[in-house]
Amino acid sequence: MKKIELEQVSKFYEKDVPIIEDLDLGIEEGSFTILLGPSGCGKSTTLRMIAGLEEVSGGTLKIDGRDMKNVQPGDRDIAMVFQNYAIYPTMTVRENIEFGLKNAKIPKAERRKRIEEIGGITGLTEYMNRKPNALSGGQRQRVALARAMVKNPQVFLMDEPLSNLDAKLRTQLRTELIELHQKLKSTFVYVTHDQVEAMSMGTHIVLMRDGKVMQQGTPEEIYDDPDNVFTAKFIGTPPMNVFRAEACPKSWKIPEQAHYIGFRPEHVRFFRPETESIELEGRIITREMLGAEILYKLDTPYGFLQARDYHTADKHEGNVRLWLSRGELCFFDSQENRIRSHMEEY
Amino acid sequence: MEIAEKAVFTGMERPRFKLKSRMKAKADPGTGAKVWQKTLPYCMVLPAMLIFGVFVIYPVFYMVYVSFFDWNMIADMEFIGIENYIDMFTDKDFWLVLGNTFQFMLMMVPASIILSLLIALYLKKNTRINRWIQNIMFMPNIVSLVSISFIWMWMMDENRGLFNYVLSLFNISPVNWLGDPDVAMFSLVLVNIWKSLGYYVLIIVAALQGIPGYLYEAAALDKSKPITTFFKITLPMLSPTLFFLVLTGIIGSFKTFESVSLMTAGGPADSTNTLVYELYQQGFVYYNTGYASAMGVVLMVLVGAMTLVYFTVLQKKVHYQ
Repeated sequence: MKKIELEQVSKFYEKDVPIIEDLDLGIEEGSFTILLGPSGCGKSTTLRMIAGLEEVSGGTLKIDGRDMKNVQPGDRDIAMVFQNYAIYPTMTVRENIEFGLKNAKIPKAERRKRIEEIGGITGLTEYMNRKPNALSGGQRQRVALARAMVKNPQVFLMDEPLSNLDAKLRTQLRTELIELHQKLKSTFVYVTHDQVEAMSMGTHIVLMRDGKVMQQGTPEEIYDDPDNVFTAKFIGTPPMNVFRAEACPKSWKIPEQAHYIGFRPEHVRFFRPETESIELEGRIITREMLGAEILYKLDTPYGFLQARDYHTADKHEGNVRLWLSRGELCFFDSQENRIRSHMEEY
Repeated sequence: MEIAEKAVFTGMERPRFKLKSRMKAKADPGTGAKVWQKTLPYCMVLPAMLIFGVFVIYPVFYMVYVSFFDWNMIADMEFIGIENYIDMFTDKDFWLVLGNTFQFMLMMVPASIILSLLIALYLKKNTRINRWIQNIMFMPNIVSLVSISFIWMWMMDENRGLFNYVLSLFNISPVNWLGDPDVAMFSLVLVNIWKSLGYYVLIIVAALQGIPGYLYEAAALDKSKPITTFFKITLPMLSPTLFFLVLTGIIGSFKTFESVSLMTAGGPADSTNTLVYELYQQGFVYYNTGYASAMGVVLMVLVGAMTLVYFTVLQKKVHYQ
């Protein structure tokens, strides 16, 4: 069932300068949906429209099938976690968490019970009487989370909540958020520009660019089956290698309409595979040992490419031979859109 | 010992780095240069400190000194110990004047702050029109209080003033704004509020615009009503600014003088006589210089105490994040 529906939604700040135009988007109930894209793609604006912090310029936005026009943010049964936490600096942790409950006129005994419970979950129990300026970044983020959770909302909206934290804490909180989603079973809508975050947390990814949805689907679909060059290059570290078709030799039997050929770094092989394959030569420029895997940057007659090899006794150096399995190639047309009809043929 | 070592060190270094010797001297100065380097900063602040000493420190100490003497600025000074203070604290007029000063302050500070807060909330949005209104409101602040006083004296004139003319349109009998002992203080406060409002509004608007917008968004998501948002978020966030304005307002009220001197001369029946005006009268009209100095000391202690309160609280008061 769709929890949040955007139909032909557009957003203008100035006339004739659309930030978002005719956006159609459905967010499934109970999903962990990620709005992903480079900065300025309209993902945050979309989230803020769902929250009611930005007006919808055109189209309809529904939550639970109900049109949200003229529904105040506080009445949408949502909670939001902001990038800069947005905790009230003059209130203690407890007051911060309690503020929304008080405004919703929840009785005192109930409030106390919920705060205690949330304090336990977020590990904030001993900091309840502290002011936010006496907390670390991670703790502040937990306060922001606790403040959202305590309201038991149907929908959680999160606007890059982890981007102000250091790498280690980010990884830790990432796992915690996944657990939280599984426990609460509510709908999460999460905005990020970090595709690793998106891939690791989301059950559904919506990849956006310039106010348009480039592709949406499960992380697997987005990774394995990109609809266009943008998706192919945005998702994956390192991203998909894309060659211009005209630079490649005829012997590769590239379909006529194809302007670009893409393949994932892990599909570059240093040995001949058993399936039908293309052979090319390259010179290794750099080698990055990452533990379980090794990344190579190579120079080939058709352009640079990156290859991912798994940690083995083989150490590749200098000029090497490479093989690409034909079935793993993706072809894109002149508009950078995927050509799918040739998948079976070749 | 250390200097001697340094000298040897530089002596050995110099021949070897002939080209760099000038740079070396700069980085590793000799004894003379070192002394100069230490004294130079003091020499540079000396003029300012001299002026400060002659015009601020010396008069303050001299005032305290004079307050223990009977003196009229011409005759010989006669040491009378704390008699000036005893006279002052047993004088009914002193307490009346102090009471008037507090009355002025208690009307002036809350009224001007609440009023300017309300106006600032209205002007908070940074639009062209609001900036214009704000600039116009600030204008009284750059006009001399003397001019302002004269304009208001005309407006408050019992027979020919604008105020009474307007009242007459509503068939209200004329008010003697500056001549009625029950009204005169109120009139003075009105003029002073009018003058300082623009400044207060300016500062509060700046503080309001400094409150991050996401706090209001978070509040909206927390279902906060506007009135709750104001008292739970806006007001606490403004508290350091308001505190500053209250304190400077109190200090300013203690020192109020021009409007009293020009508009009412402390009258009628001493109803608007304030501490500084009385001090001026004692010192420069009656030439009770010692007595006036003693009043000056009391004023200084009062203002000093408020300043101390301000800095103590400010240090404890958190600068949020």
